Amino acid sequence: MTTQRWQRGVSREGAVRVGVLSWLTVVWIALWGDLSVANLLAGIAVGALIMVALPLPRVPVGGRLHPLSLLQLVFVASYYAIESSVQVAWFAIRPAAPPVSGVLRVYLSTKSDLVLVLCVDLLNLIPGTMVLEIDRRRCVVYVHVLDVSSDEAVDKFYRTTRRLEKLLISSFERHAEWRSSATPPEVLP
Amino acid sequence: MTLWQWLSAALILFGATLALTAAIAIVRFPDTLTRMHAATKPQVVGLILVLAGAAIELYGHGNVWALVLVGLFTLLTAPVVAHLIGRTAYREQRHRDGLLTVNELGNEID
Repeated sequence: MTTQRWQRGVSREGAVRVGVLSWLTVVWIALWGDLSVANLLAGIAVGALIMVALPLPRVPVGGRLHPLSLLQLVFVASYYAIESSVQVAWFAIRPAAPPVSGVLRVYLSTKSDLVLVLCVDLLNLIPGTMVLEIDRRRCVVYVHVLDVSSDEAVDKFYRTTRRLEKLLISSFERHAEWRSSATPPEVLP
Repeated sequence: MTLWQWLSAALILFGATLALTAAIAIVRFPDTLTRMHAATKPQVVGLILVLAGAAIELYGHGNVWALVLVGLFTLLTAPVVAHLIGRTAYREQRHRDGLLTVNELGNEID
């Protein structure tokens, strides 16, 4: 059992390294705009050099990626972003007072720092919401909301946030598959 | 004009309009936090729409992939910029009364 778990960890780490090298190579080829053998080899060389010169710390990941949920998350987030952009644009040009804004507290039930950061990124990317503080221990985020002029607007914000959170959890860390041993060590403030 | 050129023109015009409304919002909104909403996020959506229109116009050219990378890197960096500036602005202006109707963060920053 221990040997199998160790081997699985090693193979996962190897896959991550190959993935990072592949991604760097893809970026190199995309920046040059020319897919050729010389560019491919140069990309692999430069990618390997970057990985050796600038090693990144290992991010502990306990869950598994679910592509269908991730695709749904991308579509829902894109829809929210465009819808909220039009709303903010309307707030900008409408002949009325500026919107009434406020700071709201949101309790998240994410388990890992990676998904918490992704959730914060999504909240920051959707116009009208901006995370001001992240309480990592309690998994609480404080969000500045552009429009809190009515209970309906506040409820809409909470509904949107809950839906994004559910999609993130179903994409990266479903409860049935979570392995708590991957929890990172506590970082002292 | 072909259908693709119309789509490209529509995307670029819509993106430019979002960027224009972001600039108008920076002038009209009262404080830094509300201005940050307009400055960082409709502008990001507008930029991605303009990049999509430009990519359609440049279809077949190798530089389309550079445009895709620009859009992706904008998506990755814009929320961090928004968060850091918003966080700093909130800590500096939180004692000004009347700007925040609802404030559940309050005095929880030590």
